[in-house]
Amino acid sequence: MAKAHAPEMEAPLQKEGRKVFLPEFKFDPQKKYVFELAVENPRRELPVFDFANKREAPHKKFKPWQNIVLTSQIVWEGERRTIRYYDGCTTLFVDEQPTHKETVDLLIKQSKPRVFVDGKFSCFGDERMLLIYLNICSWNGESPYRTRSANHIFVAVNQDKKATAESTKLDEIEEALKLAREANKNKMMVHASYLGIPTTDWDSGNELTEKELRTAYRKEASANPRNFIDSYGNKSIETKYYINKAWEEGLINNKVNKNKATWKNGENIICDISGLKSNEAICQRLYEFSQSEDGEEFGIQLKSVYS
Amino acid sequence: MPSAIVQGATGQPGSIAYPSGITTAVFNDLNFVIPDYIPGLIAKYGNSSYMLAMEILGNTNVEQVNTTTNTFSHFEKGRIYGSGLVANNVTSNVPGAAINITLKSPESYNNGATGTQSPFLLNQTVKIRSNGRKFKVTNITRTTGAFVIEATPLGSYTLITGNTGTTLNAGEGLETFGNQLAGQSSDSQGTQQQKLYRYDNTATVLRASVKASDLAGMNKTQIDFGNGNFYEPYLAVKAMNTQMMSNIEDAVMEGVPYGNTADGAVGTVGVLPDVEARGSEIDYITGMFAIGDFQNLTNVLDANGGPREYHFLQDLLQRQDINNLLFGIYKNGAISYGSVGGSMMDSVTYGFNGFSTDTFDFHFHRYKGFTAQAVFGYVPTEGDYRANFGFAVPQGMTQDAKDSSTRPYMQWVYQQNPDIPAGQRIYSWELGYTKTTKTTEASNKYEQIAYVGSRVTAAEQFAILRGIVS
Repeated sequence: MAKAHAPEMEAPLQKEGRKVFLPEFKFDPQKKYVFELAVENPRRELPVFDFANKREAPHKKFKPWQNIVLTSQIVWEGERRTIRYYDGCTTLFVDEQPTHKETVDLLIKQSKPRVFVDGKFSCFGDERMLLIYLNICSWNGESPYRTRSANHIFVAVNQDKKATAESTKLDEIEEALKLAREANKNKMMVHASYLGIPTTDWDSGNELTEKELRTAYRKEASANPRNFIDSYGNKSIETKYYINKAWEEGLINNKVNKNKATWKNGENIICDISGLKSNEAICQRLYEFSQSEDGEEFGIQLKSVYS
Repeated sequence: MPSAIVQGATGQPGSIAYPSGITTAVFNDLNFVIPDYIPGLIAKYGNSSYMLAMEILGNTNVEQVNTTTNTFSHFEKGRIYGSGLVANNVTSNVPGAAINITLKSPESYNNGATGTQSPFLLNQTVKIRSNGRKFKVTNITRTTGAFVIEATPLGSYTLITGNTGTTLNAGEGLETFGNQLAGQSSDSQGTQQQKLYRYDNTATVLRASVKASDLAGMNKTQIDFGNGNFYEPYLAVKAMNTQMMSNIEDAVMEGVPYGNTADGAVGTVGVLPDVEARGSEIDYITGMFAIGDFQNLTNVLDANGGPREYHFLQDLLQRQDINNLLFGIYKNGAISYGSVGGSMMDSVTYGFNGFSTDTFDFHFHRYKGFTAQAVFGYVPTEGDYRANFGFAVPQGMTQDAKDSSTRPYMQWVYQQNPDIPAGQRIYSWELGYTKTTKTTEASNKYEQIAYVGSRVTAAEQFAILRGIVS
């Protein structure tokens, strides 16, 4: 079958019997490949103010202009080798490039400068040699051939990678929202307390209803899904919550003996709290006790009280 | 190379902290500038402090306003001419026929990808960069993120990229001027103005203290600390002033972040962080600085409207790189001592020498503040963010976009504390057993404070020249 003359870069070169430089690198001639600076601008402490709309001006993520250096050393087959990009040259390896002065001068003159504008540089896949250079040079922080000592200037914008990361985050949000929606009230109270979600409406002083709390709980799940999922159902968080609650309610106290934490009636000693004065330190000691072999029964009792 | 502290002199690696105070004293002579005293200051502190040079050249300011909040501001505006880029290929195959062009985001907009503000107005004459063909804007659709202009050719030609084909390419430049074909009985045109931006910054607070015991002040040493004074506290005068000077210089040049502080203290953005974010960077390969790199630099400065004269602060490695190039090319000596705002004698005194190319005059200044070896006496082995580093600072005055007041492009801004005598940049005071304010302890305390921040106006006209290594 006759092959159509599609605009493939490899085809004409191979047809003439020329050796293709690093044939494993393939690019779609019709697609644009994007690179961006590795270092982003930090946000100003005081934002720039736009007088036209009396609002904060958008943050500029990258510096406006930075040139691309088109020569680099790389680690190639275990040793350093210098590569250099010239427009129209058929190899990147300096030791294989023309050495005749007039030819080199011509190559230098005909090579356009390349620049990151607002942190981005892009070119079509038909600039194959340039793309190989940008992918393997040491300035590219993700180049497998970069030297250890090289400055990290830019990275390739990998849309697939970005999409995967965003997709993973969306999956997490969905999972966290599902947990937040389905958690029973008790579990939600425990977890919300750990996440720092207030259970009181501070304007009115009223305790939040279950519906109000769940809304805040779901918002938190959406805002910080990874933390939400990681901490959801964590037994130690539950135990700490119950201990704090029992201490606040006086169900556990040290009224009879300042050095002993006891159940409410003062007869059943839980553990020794000698030398501890703050509520936080006492609750922490109770928590540590609950995690020990001797405190196993205490943990069970505590859970049975609140379950 | 292993990390090493240079042990060239007794007393290295440098100063020692004495939390309880030692035996030194201080007096502040940094509140320049008495012209007659300038040679004395240079003789005393050397010419490696750019702050001192700036001070002597009059490039600092004592800000009188907003002292209560430590905040100061300036205004900047964009270019006077607007442009846009074509977002997608557009077919134009009928000479004289109008086409619809969608502008590329975010470059064509003022407010980023979703903005609707662009420079284009109805009836405006617009030029295509690749071929100079002109068209008139005959309709505008301001859709968020897809600003569309209807372009009608002024002549009987197509609106394409270059001179052949039928396509106006994505990325083609469209340049606006105004209405060049208003015709008779023309009506009022729309308004095209640059946007005005306010840049705020804060002054950070720097302190230095020295406590000198009674014995330190009375024991005569074998060393003449200046002016025939053999008492140790006089050594501290110079040491503390030099440290304060370096401290201020580092704070203003490198910035003092404060986003993570909980005590309400505010720092300052800093000149270099500001330029790194808003200015241009020209990279070259360390050890291989070439004339093309210089041309990269001058191209950027020219494109951004930089002034004729620049100070070029450099670490020694970059200076050597550039010297190698320039001495190689200009064997008969094109490098001369040029003006830095004063006489040729001043240039030499303050440590500048100059080189002119591509309509720009560069005055190179070897800046020790970039180099760990020179300041701290050790060789960094785990990376050095200011190695092979150069910083081009535009000279002359620039105009504030709002009120037309003028100021240097780079400025040290000292905040005026109303309780401190007007005009003082660094305030010093003292108390102790022999001072006006008496203390029970037989020692004297010397204190310094400065409220200072950075101001960078037109950061795009600055440039960073960085040697990179692989």
